[in-house]
Amino acid sequence: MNEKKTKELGIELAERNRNKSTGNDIVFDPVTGELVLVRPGDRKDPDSTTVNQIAEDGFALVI
Amino acid sequence: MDSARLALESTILERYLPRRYAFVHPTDSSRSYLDVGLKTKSGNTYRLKILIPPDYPSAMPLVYVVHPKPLYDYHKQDLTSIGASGKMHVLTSADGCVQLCHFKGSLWHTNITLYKVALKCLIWLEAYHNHLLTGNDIDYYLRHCPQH
Repeated sequence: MNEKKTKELGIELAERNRNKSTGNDIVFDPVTGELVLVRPGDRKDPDSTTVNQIAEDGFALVI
Repeated sequence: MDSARLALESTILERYLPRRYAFVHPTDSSRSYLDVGLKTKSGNTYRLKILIPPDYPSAMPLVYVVHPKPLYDYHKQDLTSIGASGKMHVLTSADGCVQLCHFKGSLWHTNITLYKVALKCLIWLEAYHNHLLTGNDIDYYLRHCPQH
């Protein structure tokens, strides 16, 4: 189950990396302390933080 | 970090990462860091050391994974041995700890908080776990910052 959720998140990240729109949100749930994939129509906890943009801003390599 | 900024950072962290963080030497700018624990979907817990530079938030913090140590890649190679790698989004390690890429220095600004840095590193950790499952490089999951 955990592996399945890990892979779901990985697929979502890979799709975003290729500029493909999934309609999903990646959010941080402060209750569980984990990232959660929220699909359209799913309830989003008001205390959660959407991290779509943080992921899409990209990661730096500074040497 | 000045006291006003420390109060701001603490308020945010207390709300979103309660009981998962601790400031170490918060008022000593020469050795101040944030110790934070993050959990992945796989159930693994990682401890990050977010080094707070003396001129933070003008300067960007550096992030190291201090537990578990070492971190291995899909091929069972110690990630610290590969040095800085764009494919794996890591920088030169220190004290046997992998340094994570997060924000780009030229795009860093003072409105970015330590909470946001921690979230970015949690995204890296989820990508790392997918790397362990599939063998795909981490940049298969995480894009590079634009080159400008």
